[in-house]
Amino acid sequence: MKKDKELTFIRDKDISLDSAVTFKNVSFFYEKERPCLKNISFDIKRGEFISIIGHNGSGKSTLSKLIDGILAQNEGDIYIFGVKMQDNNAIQLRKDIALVFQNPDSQFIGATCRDDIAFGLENMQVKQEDMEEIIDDCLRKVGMEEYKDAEPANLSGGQKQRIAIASALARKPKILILDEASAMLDPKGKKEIEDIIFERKKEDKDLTIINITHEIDETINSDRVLVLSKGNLVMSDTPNKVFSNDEFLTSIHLSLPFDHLLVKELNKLGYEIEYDDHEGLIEKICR
Amino acid sequence: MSIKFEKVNYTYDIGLPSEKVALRDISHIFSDHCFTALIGKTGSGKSTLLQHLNALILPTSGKISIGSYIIDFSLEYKDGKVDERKMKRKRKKKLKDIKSLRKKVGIVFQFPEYQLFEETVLKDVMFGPKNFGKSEEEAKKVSYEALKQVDLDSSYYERSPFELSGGEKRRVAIAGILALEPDVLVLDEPTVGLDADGEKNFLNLIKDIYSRGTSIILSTHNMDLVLKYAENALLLEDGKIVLADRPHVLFKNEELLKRSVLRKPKVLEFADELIKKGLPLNVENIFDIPSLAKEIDRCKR
Repeated sequence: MKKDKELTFIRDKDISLDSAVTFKNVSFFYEKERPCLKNISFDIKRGEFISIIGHNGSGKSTLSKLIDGILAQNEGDIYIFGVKMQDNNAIQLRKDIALVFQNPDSQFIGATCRDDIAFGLENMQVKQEDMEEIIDDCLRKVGMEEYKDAEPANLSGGQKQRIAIASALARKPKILILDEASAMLDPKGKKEIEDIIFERKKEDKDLTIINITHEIDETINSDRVLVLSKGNLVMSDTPNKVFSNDEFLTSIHLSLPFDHLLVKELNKLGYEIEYDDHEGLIEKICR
Repeated sequence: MSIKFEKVNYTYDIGLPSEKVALRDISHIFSDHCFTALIGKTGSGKSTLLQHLNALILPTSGKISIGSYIIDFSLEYKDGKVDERKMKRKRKKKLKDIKSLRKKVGIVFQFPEYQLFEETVLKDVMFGPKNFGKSEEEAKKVSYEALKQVDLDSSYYERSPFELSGGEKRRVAIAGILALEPDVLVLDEPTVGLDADGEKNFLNLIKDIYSRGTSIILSTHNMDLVLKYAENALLLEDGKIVLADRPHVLFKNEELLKRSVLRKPKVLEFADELIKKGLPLNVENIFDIPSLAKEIDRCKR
């Protein structure tokens, strides 16, 4: 029995060494005739910042639940850092994964921000004397140092989600999944979350971030965008490549990010501008 | 039809520990055929104000004139003090013919799709007009018209409202209000919960309704919407109106934006970046992405 357990943590030799999350021909369905995800294959590298977009009901959230082992696939295999996820190792593999969900009010556990972050640390049996330092560090990472003793009721939605991210980061995950983390926030809150994700990505090169969203503007800084439509993975490419295909995106009810929409309008007026990144666009317009 | 607020105050739960002042000395005229957006932090009084517009909530003190309908709770004084006895008598008087008011001002609440209840789409839309005394035939006629306005054709009439998509349900709910042929359409956070596609279609619908002569008064956190569609922005802060002006005037006031934790519309944020780099854009010409592109073009020529 023990031997069996050990075996389950061996890397699969077919999966490349720098892979964080790998899907091989994964399907998921509640009823076989109506699959939520159909034969999905992709490979997310360590340290990559991935955005997953898709229309309501495209299978985005199902995908995140499969990665975290909350749901089990019906067909195919899922690998976390090259290790095949199975019934007997899912709990161990999940230790490297942290999730932030949609509703800011349903994921607060502590009476203060400090307590909320400490909850996760206590579960990991972190020593009391080390805790304060980790808590301060995580609060700093999400720009909430001043709110250490604040009560959740007095925070805005955006601030609550920042604390949720801090709590997730305190567990030192290797993979951070944000499942529509900004969907219920006002524009200001959305921007806060967008900035925090971008900052994390710049500072922590090893952290793999998977951002599942329908806010197209959030995806523009990611390394790669995966597009889901009706349970199929229909695109997987850099944001610029994905968003240059605007007719296809419109056909699956997705719109373009702000910058790309503006480029399109300028093209209509006869300006030959191509989009590289935000700063580049500003430069090109002012030139 | 214009709506006039004169020194309107409203306090929830007077005399209870939970007593809370929601509106303070609100004086404002919503002009005939207006498109006004109410903005402000959560708890600033937006929804309370909206519910005053058709007397779902009556003011604690102050006077509201909705067309010719007048709710007068303005303060009475005696020897320099508020005359409580007179005020009490005023409040006791029953409001007359409140139904005629409700017909003129229709309110669409947040997530209106939850208000649907009938077996078929057509029956749901007909419920309002029938309640207001229209015959079966007349009710049908206005309902057909209302459903046409929200772009739902006859194939929807006999369908159950519960099998429709979120965006379609919201359309049915609005048709139910439009069937009353109101002069003023009030919407509380109308775009919350719609995806990008649904939001765009929905706002075009509101714009159409406005251009057909109905006044629109709505509350929102969506500043892109305010800039693009609204003619007037009303900023509330702790129950007081701190600004009532064109959206452009509000978005120029950096200090006010910061205090009310409002984010500028994306087009104006982008324009600011260009202006910083020396492009002399006139922000007054910018309402949405096409007009931003045109303004850039104008500067470059």
